[in-house]
Amino acid sequence: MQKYIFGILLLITAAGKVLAGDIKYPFFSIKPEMLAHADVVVRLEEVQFEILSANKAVMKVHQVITIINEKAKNQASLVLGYDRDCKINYIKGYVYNQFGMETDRVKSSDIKDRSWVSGYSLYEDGRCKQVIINTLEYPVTVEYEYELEYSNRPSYPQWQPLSNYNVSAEESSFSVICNDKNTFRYKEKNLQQPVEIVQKDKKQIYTWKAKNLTAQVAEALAPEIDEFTPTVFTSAASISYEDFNSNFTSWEDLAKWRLYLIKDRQELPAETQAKIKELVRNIPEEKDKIKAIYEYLQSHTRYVGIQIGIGGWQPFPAEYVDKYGYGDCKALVNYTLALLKIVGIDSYYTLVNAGKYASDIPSDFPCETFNHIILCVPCKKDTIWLECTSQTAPFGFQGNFTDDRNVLVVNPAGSKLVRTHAYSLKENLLTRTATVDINQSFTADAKVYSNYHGLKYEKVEELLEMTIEEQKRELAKTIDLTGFEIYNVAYQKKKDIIPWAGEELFLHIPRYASSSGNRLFIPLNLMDKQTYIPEKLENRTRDILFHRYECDIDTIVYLIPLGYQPEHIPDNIHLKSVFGEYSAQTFFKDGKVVYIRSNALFKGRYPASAYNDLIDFCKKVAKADREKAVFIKQ
Amino acid sequence: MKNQHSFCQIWIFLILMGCFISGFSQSPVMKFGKVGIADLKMTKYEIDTSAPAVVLFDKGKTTFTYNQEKGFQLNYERHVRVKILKKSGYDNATFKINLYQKDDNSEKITALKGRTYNLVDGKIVEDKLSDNAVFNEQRDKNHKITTFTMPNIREGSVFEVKYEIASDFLFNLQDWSFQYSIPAKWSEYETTIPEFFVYYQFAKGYIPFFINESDSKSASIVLTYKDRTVGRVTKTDYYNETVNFFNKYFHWVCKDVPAFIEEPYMTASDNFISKIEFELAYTQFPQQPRKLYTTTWEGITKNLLDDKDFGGQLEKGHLVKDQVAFINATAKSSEEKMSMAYDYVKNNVRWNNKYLIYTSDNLRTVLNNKTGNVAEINLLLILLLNELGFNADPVVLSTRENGMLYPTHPSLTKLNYLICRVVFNGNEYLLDATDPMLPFNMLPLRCMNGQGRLINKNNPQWVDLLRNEKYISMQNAQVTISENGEISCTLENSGSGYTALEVKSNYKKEGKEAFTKKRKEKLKDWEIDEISFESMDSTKNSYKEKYVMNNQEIAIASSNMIYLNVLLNLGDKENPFKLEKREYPVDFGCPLKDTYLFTYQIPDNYVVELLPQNARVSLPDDAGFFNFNIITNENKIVVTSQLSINNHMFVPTDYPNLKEFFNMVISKYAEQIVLKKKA
Repeated sequence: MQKYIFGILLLITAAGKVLAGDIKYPFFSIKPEMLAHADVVVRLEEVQFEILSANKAVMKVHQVITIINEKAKNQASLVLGYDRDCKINYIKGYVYNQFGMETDRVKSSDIKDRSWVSGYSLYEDGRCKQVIINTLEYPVTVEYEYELEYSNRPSYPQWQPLSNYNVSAEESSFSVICNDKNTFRYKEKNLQQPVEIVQKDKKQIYTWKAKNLTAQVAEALAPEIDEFTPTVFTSAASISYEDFNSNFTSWEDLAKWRLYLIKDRQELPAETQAKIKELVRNIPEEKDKIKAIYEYLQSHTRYVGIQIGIGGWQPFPAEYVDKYGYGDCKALVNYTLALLKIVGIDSYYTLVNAGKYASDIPSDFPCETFNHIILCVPCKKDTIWLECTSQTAPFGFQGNFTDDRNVLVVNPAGSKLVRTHAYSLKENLLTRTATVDINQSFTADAKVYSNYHGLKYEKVEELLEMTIEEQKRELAKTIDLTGFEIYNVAYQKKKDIIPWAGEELFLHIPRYASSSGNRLFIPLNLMDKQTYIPEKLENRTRDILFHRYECDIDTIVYLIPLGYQPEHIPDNIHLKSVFGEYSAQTFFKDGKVVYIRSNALFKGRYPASAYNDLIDFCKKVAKADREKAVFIKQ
Repeated sequence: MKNQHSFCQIWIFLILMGCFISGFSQSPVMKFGKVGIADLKMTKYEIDTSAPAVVLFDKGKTTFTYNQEKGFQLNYERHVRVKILKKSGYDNATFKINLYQKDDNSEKITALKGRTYNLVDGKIVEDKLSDNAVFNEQRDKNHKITTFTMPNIREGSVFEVKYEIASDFLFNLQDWSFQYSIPAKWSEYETTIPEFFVYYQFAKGYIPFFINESDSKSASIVLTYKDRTVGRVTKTDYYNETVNFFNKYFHWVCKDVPAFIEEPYMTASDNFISKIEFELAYTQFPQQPRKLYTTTWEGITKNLLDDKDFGGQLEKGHLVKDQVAFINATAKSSEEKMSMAYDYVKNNVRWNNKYLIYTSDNLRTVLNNKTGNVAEINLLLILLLNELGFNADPVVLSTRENGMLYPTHPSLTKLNYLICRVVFNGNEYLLDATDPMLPFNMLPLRCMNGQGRLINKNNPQWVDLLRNEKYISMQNAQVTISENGEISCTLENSGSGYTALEVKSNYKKEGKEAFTKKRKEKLKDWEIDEISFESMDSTKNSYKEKYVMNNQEIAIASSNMIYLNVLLNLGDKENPFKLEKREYPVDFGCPLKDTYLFTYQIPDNYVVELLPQNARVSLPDDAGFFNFNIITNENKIVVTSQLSINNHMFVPTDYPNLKEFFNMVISKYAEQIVLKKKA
């Protein structure tokens, strides 16, 4: 491969800097509608993927991209990963100025070779070739041709001509070449025109084309871009890896491949087996046994990302984790599975596309779109999902990283997609009570008690692991108050499937109430102001998505200094919309102002036409949260 | 014929230098594998009970060894032992050791061993770091990383790691930090340096040494020389020679070192962390002249001017002869020539974000590729100005992120940036052509770091980098309040100095669309009818944003009263200084000045019931002041508020004052105007 690159580069050098010649892809030939909102215009993209055998494939890419402005300058560069199972056969590159004249060619010295270790890993064996294009003038056009050769890779490319916002595409095509022996599967989504299939020399060529795709603009609270831009998913129809040969058409087949990869990897030394048996000997309830073993995992291991070997898909054996006390998600899940097996509890390796706002997997098209592994433990009453990479996560708590989505449970007796737990409005609750004592110098001393339930637990999850000094430092940054001191902070927690954390805060807030002359102004919402107002748009095009329910309830009592009488106490307010419900009540009695606020957001999908209602709702909430009570000295 | 002896050529160490043993009774037992049960049983660190982990000891040692092929090599040894107290301390068990290689020279890690100790049922259980859990990553051509993490780390674990690094880079004697992100009980470093090598040492930070000693001991070595006689028959003779020399020994220990915690508004943490650094001053081998590296600023000046990648580049006038001819033909005055030269470099060579004081490519390539590092860009500017007949010289400096440059401690390796100084008609101009948005004679904020060194053979001197520039911003609002509390407002935000530079750079980087979006996001409470920008694309050192907007949310209107924030919630709302105390100085970079000028027109049938009081607050020694004025005249209210910070640096003892000062400012900004309906 190195030689080949060298050969090409020699050729380029021989050609020298003959910069005259054809005009290619000049900027002025881009139609105005393709420039609207675009930082990048894909002039041409041709991707050809040829399946040579069950475990060999070649991908040729030819792309021409015009970078409109400096903001998108990084997209002029090319980064191609490679590893044991994927090699780069060649890279060619050309640079054109806005008039379409060639100004540069990629030389061998321009192609840098580097390791490619993602931020969350200690080590990965992947490397990459980088071509960095430096340019001063925009627009600039870059043209690349390269070829990648894959082996042992059951995941096939996905075609998505617009995978980013502010990118338009003049012309894009994707073909897959296969033969009778080596077929593939595909799924089309949001296409302008369906596939064209051509038979040629015993080969079938499937081609998808798209033209004049205008740039998409990101909108707040919208679904991921994948949902509405043209996409073709592809996957191997069969798989052949060492002695594993199988169809690759159903979720069941995908699960079998994973079962093959974890086969015979649950052996544990006798010593560990004895320890685990001893650990649960006196625990009668199965759920408590699982919990004890999960806690054993948490106190004996930690997450360390190491991706080596077959595309990073095979976990280290359980023995490895037992010996070193660390592993990545696969290895830790496999280890936990092995620990549970010792005491006769069945559990299942489970594939998930994790992330707070991750798109759902295409459930009708089995393919490898997962990025994380968790463990599924079916129990008598319900299913327990275990996140094995965290040393601190409450037992069975999924959090927003893996909640409410389809996951593939790999079960030797039959695998299928299962939906994980969706947290309800009642489960995601933040309740807060506070007494705020305002003295004659308008300083407030506040005792604040907050309860974080369900997903709200994640707001304080990191704080729970910190030392008091760190907690104070962190809270000093995040609490929405000015010039305060934290006298005391303390946490309690209950780690359960629906976890709870209690927070006790003593705050000293000089000048919480502001005074002018003989008037006293007291902001009523102590520390939970909602200020978010979605951006005003001329034309909202996409649905509004609230991924999760949540609800905050505050009850705050302000003790008013002697001698003050109310001049202005805000009216009670109640706002209700499809997005949520808000209420704030304020009353004054016996020298105290009592403020009760409740703010609930409803999970759901709402039409784009409701967008202005949402802005209106948020504005009203923001205004209500800024209310002040005004007192006047008698 | 007898070859001349060259010390560096062909000789062999037979006897290595004797080693020094220091016998301090207070020092912890630092034998690999010997872990005290008390350390394993420890559940918290008494001095800092919040520590997630603590360095029990960390000991480093640098010695010199000799190798037949390579000559002298540095040998660095490290042995560190850490106690893990909490899960949040687990990261301390992961090591990433960076190794450098260039041409035939390299840094190599050897003798790596590690062990984790856990207390299980009262017994110590050991786990070795195994070879297959150590990964060697070839980052790129010049960088290697050895990474590993210790096995079986739990709350309560103790682990230790020991390794050596053999290095060919004699100028890079390993620095040593005595301070970590976690507290340390004991941190120790010793060096044994043959008299042939003289390193300049520089200790910094706030932690006093518990031991700081040095010694000089004679050592003798027997060298084997090899002589070759070249004639009809080549003959090699060996003979021995004893060389007496001194080894210089240095030894430092810090004890009970607190964790280093970064604070906001801080320059490089490197300025404050307790550390010892080395810089090769000169080498002097027997029978050879002294070879200077850096000892004095004069030496550095000479060194730089003689270097082909620095001074050498300033002799290539022919490269810019076209530009010189063009400028000479076009410019009407010398001033215009100067600014044309500046604009030419700024607009024709893009900075690749690399900080260097040497060129990596020659200037011809830089001109062709239209990109370059700092040195390339500004040396090109200097070259061009000199060819135009100006007196332009390089000034080398250390940027804010790179740490402070101390005139008393000459150091070549500390320098990472180069700018251009021109003296014309008695005026001094400092120019940096790396940022196309920079106005003439203004330096980017990254250069605001004390003084820079002028590199000129005849007239070396220090140049103050901090000039008169400030952050200057002004908000000017014309406001009309209606009876129902609706507010219409014409707001003009303007700025100059570094404020303008920042705003305009963002505007350029983000593009008008995204910039406008962000501005609207900041004013999300408002209905904006009109937005316009002025001077955003020019290099003029000012800008203006204008908004016509209205709002029904900000004022609270009850039956006969209107309450309204005095700055319409447009003033700063948060004190940048929230922490109770401060360990290290606050550094703003340069002085700042914020002004608000708000004029309100109130409804005819309302009167002013209450206004915030005027205020004037100063920081001691005229370091800053806040002046808040409000006057009313018929149905007009005029608010003038000015905040000035005159010093850019505040030491920790100033911190309480500074924090309180900002608290007062922020709470003033939060005050209310009250209007009442006429009876």
